[in-house]
Amino acid sequence: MSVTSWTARSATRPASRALKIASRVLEAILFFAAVFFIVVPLVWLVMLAFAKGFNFPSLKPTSLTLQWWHTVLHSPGLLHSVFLSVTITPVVVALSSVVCLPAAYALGRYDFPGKRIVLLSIFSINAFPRISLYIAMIPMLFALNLMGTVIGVVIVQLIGTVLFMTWIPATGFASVPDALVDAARDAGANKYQVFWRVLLPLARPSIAVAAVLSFLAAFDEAQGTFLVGAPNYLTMPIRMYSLVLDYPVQFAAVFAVVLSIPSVALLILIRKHLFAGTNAAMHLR
Amino acid sequence: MSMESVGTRVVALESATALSGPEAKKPSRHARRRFRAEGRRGGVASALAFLPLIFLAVFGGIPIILSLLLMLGHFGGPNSAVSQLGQGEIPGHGIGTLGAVTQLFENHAYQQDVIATVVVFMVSGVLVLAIAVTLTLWQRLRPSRAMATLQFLAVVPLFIPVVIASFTLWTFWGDRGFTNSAATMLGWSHALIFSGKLQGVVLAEVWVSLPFAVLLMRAGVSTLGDSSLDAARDAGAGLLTVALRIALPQLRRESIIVFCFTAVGVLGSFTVPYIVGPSSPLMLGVNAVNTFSDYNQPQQAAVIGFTIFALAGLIGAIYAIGTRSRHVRH
Repeated sequence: MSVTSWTARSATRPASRALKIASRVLEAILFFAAVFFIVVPLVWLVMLAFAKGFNFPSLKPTSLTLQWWHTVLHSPGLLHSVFLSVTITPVVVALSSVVCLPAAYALGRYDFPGKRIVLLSIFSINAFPRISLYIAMIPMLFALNLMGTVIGVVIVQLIGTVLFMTWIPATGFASVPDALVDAARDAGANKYQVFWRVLLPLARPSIAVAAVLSFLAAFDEAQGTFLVGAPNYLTMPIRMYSLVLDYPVQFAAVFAVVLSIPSVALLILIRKHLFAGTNAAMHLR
Repeated sequence: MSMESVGTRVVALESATALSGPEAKKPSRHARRRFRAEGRRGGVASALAFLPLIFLAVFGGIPIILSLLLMLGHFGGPNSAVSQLGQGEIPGHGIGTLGAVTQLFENHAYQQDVIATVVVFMVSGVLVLAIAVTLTLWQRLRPSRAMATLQFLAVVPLFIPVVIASFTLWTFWGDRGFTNSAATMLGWSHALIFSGKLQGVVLAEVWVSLPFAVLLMRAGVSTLGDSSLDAARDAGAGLLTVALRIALPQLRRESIIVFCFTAVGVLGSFTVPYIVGPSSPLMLGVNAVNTFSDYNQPQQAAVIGFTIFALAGLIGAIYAIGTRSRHVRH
């Protein structure tokens, strides 16, 4: 590979020796800075969740405890938030697929007037600063009597999923080779059989990725839900807002760890598909 | 993306726009080429494509118009419901009034908020861009295991919801957090407290924005041809020269996209500044929500919303100018 030949060549030049050492040193500095900046805070979070307390400025917890976990898991308000989150989010994803998947199919397999407008509009809605979009929605949600209702929450969360649910499956449908479709037709399959037996199965991975991303987008959506749903519908991420202010930091840390479990698990599950293409250069699995 | 952003968050984008960029870009170009070749037309099926557009028009487009009317002081029609709870409303006649706009902009605190927001999104955008370019270009020109691991680490925040990230960084950089504890033990007390400060907001915004930037820059860097890099190298150019003079100009488009998406994400963020940031000056996203929820001033909240839109237009202009001049050059 030419990338390796590049380094091989630079290694043979005596002048680049000093440069190489300097770059190794810089690399090490960057490496530890990144670990400190990105990883250590997360380790700190997990440690908080099991720490009884700290004698400032000591970084060693006074002792380890499961007491915070016990408190969180026995707090009815918090459990209600968990219930809300795990019921509202699937509804949002289901509605989003009803609205977006037929469109994704059409965008992926057909050419029609206005297609570029559809694609651009769907993309550009995400170029709007989120919070001002939600602020702008308020007068209408009031007029429709949807403020503080579960429907209002669903609508707000739905907006954040449209891009995923349309673009990603559309590319999935588009990437099905025409030769396969033609072959199925030649073998006597009708339009519906082609869809159900050929197109849909081949587009399924992209639909799955879109569904997972939509699920996470809705599940983690906090700012719009806070604006529209509070105080009636306090989903899990919104609980974090008040936990941060009103509770011991360890209590919030436990809730934070619990709340990140779905994200981490689902994203690891689809990571290969998600990073496909850009992942090739990475040596790390 | 958090997913607010992840980007938005993306997700996350903040988080939500985050993932779409590199993922959606490539296949759609491929798809478009295929369509042109075939020119297939679907009657009923294509009508379905407008479903999400209708949804976005109803719940995105119409609200923006209503909100604009509210800002200009039109409290009738659909706006009557929200304006009933409004305090300190300034009604407009005819085209409307800019009374609420001037009222806010004449307020010194609001001017500070606008300036703080601009500074935070500019600094965050530049920092994220600089880090993403350094990480990806370095790995391209001088590949190593350490740099590969670094790139992987930079994508880790994608897996953490923005609320959690904000909370984690708030405690980490707080007065009883990890950094201040460590600094105090070293006799350097209060030096590393960033929570409750704009610096903390920048730190956290960089944290949540980095994955998208690195993914996008990596895709851009992978398209750099070996031949041009090798040629410069053979002509005696040093590594830094190659990076700055040869590679970087070719990454102009990606750089502008990374900067603009980060800046818009930061501009439209609420969670990060709400949890990590100071109570004064307030980032505009937080101010908008407070103005509506705590002060019951929907008209003023609408003004703040449109201030954010206007600043986004500024970022859009940077994008347009940045990507256009490239065409002129080539």
